[in-house]
Amino acid sequence: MFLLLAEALSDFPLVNAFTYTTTRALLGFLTSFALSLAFGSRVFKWLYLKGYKDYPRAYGQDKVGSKKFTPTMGGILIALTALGSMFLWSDLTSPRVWIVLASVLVFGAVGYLDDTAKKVAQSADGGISRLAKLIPQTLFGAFLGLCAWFNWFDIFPMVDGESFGTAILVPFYKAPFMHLAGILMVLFGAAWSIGISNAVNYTDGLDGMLSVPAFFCFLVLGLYAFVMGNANISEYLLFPFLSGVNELSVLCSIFMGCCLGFLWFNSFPADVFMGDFGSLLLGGVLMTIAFLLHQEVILLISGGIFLFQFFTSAIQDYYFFKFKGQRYFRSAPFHEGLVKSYKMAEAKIVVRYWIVSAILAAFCLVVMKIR
Amino acid sequence: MKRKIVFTGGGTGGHVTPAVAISEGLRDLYPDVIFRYVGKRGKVEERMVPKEWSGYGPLEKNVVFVSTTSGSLKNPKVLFQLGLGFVQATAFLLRFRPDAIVATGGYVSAPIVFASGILRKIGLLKTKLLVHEANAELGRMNKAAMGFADKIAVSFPGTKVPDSKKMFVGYPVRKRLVVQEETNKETLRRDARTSLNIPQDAKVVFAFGGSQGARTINRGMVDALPLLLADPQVIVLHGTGKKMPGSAYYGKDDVEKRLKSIDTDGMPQDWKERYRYTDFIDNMGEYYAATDLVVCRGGAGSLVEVCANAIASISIPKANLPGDHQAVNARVLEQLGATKVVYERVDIASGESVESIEPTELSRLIFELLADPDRRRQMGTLARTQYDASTSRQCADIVGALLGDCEMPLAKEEPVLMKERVLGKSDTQLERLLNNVRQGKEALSALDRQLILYKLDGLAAGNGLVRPARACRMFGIGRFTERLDVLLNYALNEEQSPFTRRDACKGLGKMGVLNKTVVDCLLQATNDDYFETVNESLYALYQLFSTQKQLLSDTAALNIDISEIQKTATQHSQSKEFDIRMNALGLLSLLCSDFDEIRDAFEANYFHPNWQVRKRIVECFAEMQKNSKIDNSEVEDILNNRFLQTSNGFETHFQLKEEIIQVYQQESRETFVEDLRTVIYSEMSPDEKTTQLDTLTTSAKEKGLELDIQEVLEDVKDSNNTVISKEHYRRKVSELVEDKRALYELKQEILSEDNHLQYNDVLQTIDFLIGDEQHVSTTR
Repeated sequence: MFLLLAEALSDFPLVNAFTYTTTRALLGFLTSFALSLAFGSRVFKWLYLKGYKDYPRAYGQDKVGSKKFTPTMGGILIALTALGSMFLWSDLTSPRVWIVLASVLVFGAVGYLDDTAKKVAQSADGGISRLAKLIPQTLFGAFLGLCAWFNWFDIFPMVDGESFGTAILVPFYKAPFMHLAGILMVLFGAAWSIGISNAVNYTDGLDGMLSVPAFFCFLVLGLYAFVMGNANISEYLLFPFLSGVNELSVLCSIFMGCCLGFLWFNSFPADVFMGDFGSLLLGGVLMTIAFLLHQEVILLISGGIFLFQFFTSAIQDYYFFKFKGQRYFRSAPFHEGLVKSYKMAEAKIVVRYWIVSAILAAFCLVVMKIR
Repeated sequence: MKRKIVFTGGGTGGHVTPAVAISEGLRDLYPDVIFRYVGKRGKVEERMVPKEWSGYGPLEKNVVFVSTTSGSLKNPKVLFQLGLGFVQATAFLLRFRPDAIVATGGYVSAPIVFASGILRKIGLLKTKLLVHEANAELGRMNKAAMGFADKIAVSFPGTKVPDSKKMFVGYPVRKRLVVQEETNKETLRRDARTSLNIPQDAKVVFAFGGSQGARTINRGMVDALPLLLADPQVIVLHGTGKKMPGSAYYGKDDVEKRLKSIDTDGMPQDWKERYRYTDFIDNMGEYYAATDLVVCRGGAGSLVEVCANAIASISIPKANLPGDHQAVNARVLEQLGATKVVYERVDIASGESVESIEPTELSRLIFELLADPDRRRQMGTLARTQYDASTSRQCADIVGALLGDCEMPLAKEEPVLMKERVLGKSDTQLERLLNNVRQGKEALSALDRQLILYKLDGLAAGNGLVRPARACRMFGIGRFTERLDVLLNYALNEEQSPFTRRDACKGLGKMGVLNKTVVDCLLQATNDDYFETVNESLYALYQLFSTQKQLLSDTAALNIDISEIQKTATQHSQSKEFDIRMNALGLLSLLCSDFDEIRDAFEANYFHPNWQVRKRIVECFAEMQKNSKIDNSEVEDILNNRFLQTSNGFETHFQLKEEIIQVYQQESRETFVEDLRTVIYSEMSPDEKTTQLDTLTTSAKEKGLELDIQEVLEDVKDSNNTVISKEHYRRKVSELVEDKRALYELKQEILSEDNHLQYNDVLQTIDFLIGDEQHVSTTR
């Protein structure tokens, strides 16, 4: 919004600064962060009174250490502050922004239904079925794939004579690693969507465990978006140039602010949980942005934590069926094993995960220069 | 106006037979009735019904077929077939417009029942529905049909059906199979024996397993032959069953093969005349009349025919059926005194995978009954009371009443039965029961114990990853020492799933039997590939040895080599799995005579990264201090200077939550005291009061109320009340669970009371806890 205002008043000297991506990114970040802090408590109180409480799986005695009745679906705070900040600071005419908005709505809706189902059932097992969650994820992913294939909205233009839409980019190499034929891109989109959303969902297990890795991923993607959207820098660093993609960096920094704002409340011991709404939302946005940049591999690396969670669960299941009644890990996802068997303190586990994701993010940034 | 009745139900004979019997009753009620039978092509009803209805002249061609199948509705093939059947049924019903439908269960009846139900709901049809259940528990199909039925007729007392629809009528039997009331039983027997060429003074045993035959009965009888035929008066009649299309079992073949394998030389010369087997028996009536004793399965059909003919019987229910329905049927009759039940089992340790019964047990029971004609007569009479010849007619009358043609008959009075604590319960419920018994909260009668064993045998023999494991655990929890060999086998058995091996070790630990075989087995289990198994085996060793007080002398007497165990434990104290280390160290500290022996193993772990290992070490130190294996100054020195005390493990303790919980508890406590007051001052009998108190206390414990019962009872203040004293004793028992000496003293204290008979169940619990030697030994 301010963009329009600024463009209209662009004759004034300082106002011009507001059109710059970097200014808007910074201000977006600050706004979303400030909004989270300002409205956090009120939102949680509202959620709690509406019945969005955490109902732990094991019923039994009340324990002095239990997290029962913590307000959940705090993801709504993330969504609201993100949307608010986006409205203020992002360029709403950009189709990429619309797609990200769409992803917020779609994944938000799925998450909302799931959390509400759990609230109604008053149990952690009462959410909507796996299939019900998979279908919208698949469809949205396929939609993204189609956008890439047919270059709808002109968001996947031709770059250097090659179609950007069907390219898969990897670090270290300038040219695309390979091109996926159109229909494969659609399937890839669907698979990508399901994979990332669920991987991110598994990572939301302990207080604060998802916020920081998500923050780092947004940081990395934001910087990549900035680079790819700036004609000079992208040429210098040998990245494909896509005009307008730097809008995504504004969005990324907005979400960074949301994540940190949420972390303010969610760190151990948590005042609020983000629920499936939050984790699906963040997963969805991450995967969309990564797809729009076609920097999927980068997301896989900087979001290595998500991958790790996903694979430990998959391996556990596989091992169980293959070896007929054995566990490989003590529990899946991995952090559960740490909590239950090794009895590591929760905060320690979470911070160690943060450390790993910081390292992975740093790696991704460094790799930007090594081409 | 000619009445039109549709019958449905089938898949197996057990559903068709009662339907046919009811049709006879309806024929009596409505002489010009029109029947149709709706079944599935290729199943029993296709052949059986036209034969049974053959005497009805033009009704012969009245079998209609629809598409139907069993299986989960998630399977598209099943869904399609059932959908097709539903459409066919609807078409048929709209054309035929029957007045009433009689459904006996089985998936075959699904299309008609649901079609008629839905057509009725939308008003297109006015057909009444009578459901009849042959077993003591409603089958799955009939459970689903409950909502649509106008009346549900049950064969056994105690079946769970809503009272508004329930009619206890018994099991309808076809006329030609029944001994008429007025006829003299003696005459019948004489005639039958002459006809079958059996001497009048012979002792006749008749064994059969239905039209297909029963493997357990077939094999059991053959194996028991040498023992049975040793008595020259005994004659054995055996219906082996013939080969049915679609069945893999050929009874007659199996019996002949088995005959070749037993030692026929040792048997008396005339054994071939005294043992008569045949595959199919047309004249069951004669056989029933001629015999003194029947051996049969627990299916409702067989049991009722036996009852109708007033014969004493031994029933061998088929194991592991859903809901254990054959066992439940047989148990009901056994409670009423009409039959003796023998439970088949799979003897896993012998490597067999087929159920069987011990021939010696069978023959002993047979001889016991043959020798006691009074008892047999009594059993026969009691059996006969369960049979009501008018059942078919009663069912017909119910239909008639539903159609408005006559009065609804009065239901028979149901005898009250004991509630089943074991049969029909799920695995988790049984495990909970066993745990409660182990903790002294509940008691098991000898029969309950036998039944649990029966169920566990079925679990242990099953396939799958989890069920045998569960069985192993439960063998241990319940201290079923007679299955020790099973646990020993499973713990090392490569073919079992790793979970099972793990739980077998767990079971061995809980069972508490310490001897050389067990120790060797557990030692070998520590070499298992799966880390959880190794862990459990070490823990089991620890558990077993920690119950021995004079360790060294006992183990020497038992010929156990401690050094072997110590070596293994030392090796495992270097394991990369933290919990294996914990258990290894615990075991080492238990077995050593002095800390010097294990100092090295311990030192290697003072800085172990996982705090749980270090916690275990400290616990070991405490134990060793008590047993003077280490002196205090050394412990202090280690802990202060050479031991990592920082830990990662802490429990979150929200002070706010704690206050909140105290408030909850106060509320609950007040409610509890109120409820307690109401119960104790009420007009109920002491037994009822005790049951109520039990429920109250259990639910209070589940809510986590920390209550000192004595204190609470003081609040209620009625020291003369027996109920309070009983609760007091029960409380004491649960505190003293592990201390056998104290329990024994408590028992003496109770016995010294004047009115000690009312504390019988508490005494029973104490007996059980004191030990295996004292409680009643059950099956051999």
